[in-house]
Amino acid sequence: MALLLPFMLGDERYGLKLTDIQEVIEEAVPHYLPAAPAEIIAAVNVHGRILPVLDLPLFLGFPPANLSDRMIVLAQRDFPMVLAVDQLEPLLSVDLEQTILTQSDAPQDCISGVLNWQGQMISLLDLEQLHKAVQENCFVPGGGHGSARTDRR
Amino acid sequence: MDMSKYKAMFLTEAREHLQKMAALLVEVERDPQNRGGIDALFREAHSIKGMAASMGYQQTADLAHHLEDSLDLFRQQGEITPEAIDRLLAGADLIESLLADIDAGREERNVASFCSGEFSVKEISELPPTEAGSVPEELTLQISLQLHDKVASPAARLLVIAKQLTKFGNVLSCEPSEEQILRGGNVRQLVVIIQTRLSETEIKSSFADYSEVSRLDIETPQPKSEVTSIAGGATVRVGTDLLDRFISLTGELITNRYMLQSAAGDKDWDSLKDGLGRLGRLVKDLHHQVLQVRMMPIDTVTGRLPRLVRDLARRSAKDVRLELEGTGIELDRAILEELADPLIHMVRNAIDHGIDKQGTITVRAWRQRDQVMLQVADNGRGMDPALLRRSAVEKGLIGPGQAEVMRDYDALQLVCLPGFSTASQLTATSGRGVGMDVVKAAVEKLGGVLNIDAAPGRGTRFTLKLPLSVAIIKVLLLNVANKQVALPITRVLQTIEVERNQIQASGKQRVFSFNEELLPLVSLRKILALAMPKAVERVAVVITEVLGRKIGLVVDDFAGQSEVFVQALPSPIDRLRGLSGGTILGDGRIVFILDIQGLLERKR
Repeated sequence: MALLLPFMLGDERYGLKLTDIQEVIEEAVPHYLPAAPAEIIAAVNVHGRILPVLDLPLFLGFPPANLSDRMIVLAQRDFPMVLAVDQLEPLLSVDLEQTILTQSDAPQDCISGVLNWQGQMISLLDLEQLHKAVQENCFVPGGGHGSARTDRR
Repeated sequence: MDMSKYKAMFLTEAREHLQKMAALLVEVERDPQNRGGIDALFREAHSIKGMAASMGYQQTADLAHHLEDSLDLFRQQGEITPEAIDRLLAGADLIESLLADIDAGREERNVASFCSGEFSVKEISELPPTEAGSVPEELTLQISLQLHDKVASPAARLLVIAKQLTKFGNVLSCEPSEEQILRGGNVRQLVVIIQTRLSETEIKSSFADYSEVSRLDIETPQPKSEVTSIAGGATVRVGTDLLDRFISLTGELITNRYMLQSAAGDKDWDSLKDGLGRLGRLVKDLHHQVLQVRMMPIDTVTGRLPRLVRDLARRSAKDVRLELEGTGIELDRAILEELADPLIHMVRNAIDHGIDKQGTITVRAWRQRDQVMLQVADNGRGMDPALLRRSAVEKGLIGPGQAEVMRDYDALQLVCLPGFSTASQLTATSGRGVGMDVVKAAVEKLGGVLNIDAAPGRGTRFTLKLPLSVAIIKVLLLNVANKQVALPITRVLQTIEVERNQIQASGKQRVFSFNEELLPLVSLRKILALAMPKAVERVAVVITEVLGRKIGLVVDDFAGQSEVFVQALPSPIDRLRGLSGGTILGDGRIVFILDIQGLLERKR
């Protein structure tokens, strides 16, 4: 069994394993981050560290979102990022082995699989892919801010 | 005589001596027959006396003299009594208050009552009969005298006079010193500070026979109540070896300059290139050496801990040992200043909540690559993560769900939440948690990390991971479109306000005249792709240089200067062009430091 933090992007439900999360900031205060690509919308002060905030709905091509001020701080050492999402939901305890319906083979989706939890579809966010996509699309040397968004509008 | 410029130096040195005294007293208290310790104490008191007297701080000198006398007595006895330790510590505290008076430019508080107090009945009977009660009647006088220009062998004459003066009373200082006079040379002036029962007239009349003395001034050195404070405040003492390195570096820079000049004259491009390469290395070396000046050993902040531990342990009736390790390791003075209070908080916590009845606190520092680790460890009762979780939930600081999934490491960090305390009863000095949020904030402000490691019954370890030196720079804060950014002050040539009618158009470019030079105006809003403002009558402009060319950077307005700790940015935003770092201001706001050149290059 694993604990999963579900959150909404548009009307799709995504999830992150709790072990991938350092913490959830309850009332994040975004600060202006100049010269950043559009998807990196702010910086937040996480216990004295300056961390960038990724607008996840925007990055993944969802329609303009009403971002929650509860934000997810990732636990990855090489990807110190804060994710802004539409809405966080209560933790779920799920059996990942049993519930994964599909293994995604489209890496640009940043999804490692989809699971079925009591009839609801939850896409598991693949942080490795997300990391790579952010590096490639937001931080290309030369500053082109192209996007790998698969348009869902 | 203007002593004000020496005041800061005096205060720094006197405080160092005091700190050593306090540490020595704690040491001697554990081992009352420690001859070396008592001797060292005597020397510290003696140093303070001499310094204070030469500065004319009468009360401080009197008190130090009093302590010195009693220490001399214990030196003869070869032992120091526990009551005497208390009294000596009280004396040290009183000197500390006197130094605070001096620092604030107030008149020194009177210490006569303390000095006339008895050390203990046992000792007073053994005191030399002249000591007690007589001190207040003595006056401290400053005698300055000058020899006639024509006196032969002035050094020898001065020596005779200096010897003569010692018969009048207790010479506290003599400038030049006897050794300096003995070295000979053209010395014709003598300034002696003396504690004497003789009056001014008595001294003057006794000098009547000295025909070689052309001028004799006697004054009472009074603590000056000048309010002047030295700009910048703190003084730094620099080792002579470091100074020597500065001098040799300066020499090399001068040589380098001639080399560059001649290469430029000869249009010898190869030599010019070599010279510039060398200049680069020299400047880098200079920068490194200057940073060295800022480094101070950790014992500048741990020095006061022995006394603190002793007092706190005694107050809480516990037997606490303090062990210090690695306190010679150096850190940037700005970091050390920030660490002083957190360190005291942690040590207090260890005594109040960590150690039950008896235990050891270890304060240990070590280098780990380019970081310094500073650890405060106790072997007390430790902390229980489960208890912390429960307590945090009860206080409503975290939800039950959060507590359930919280790792032990994070649970221990809960003590850093404001308003968290595991102590069932808070003591006057601390409550675990009361200070820990302050500690954590201070460490993080420095770009460091606080690690907490504890288990029930196995003690608690607070480990501070600190940068060796912080990049502290002065920045100019700028407002632009309701946002704040910063520019390193070194990049700012000038800030001015330009009237609308002074701005001209040159093709697509707007320019304005600055010191008879036409400078292009560049809008920071435009560079940062922010909404453009409505037209205003006058604009705030920062004159800065980009690729060796001056430009006027238009901002909304200036928000003042600030000294900030620069944090390196994490990946991937460290790759953003145009940002040279970020900083967290005192109120928690993040402000990024702009690299205008990078920003402009990015646009192309």
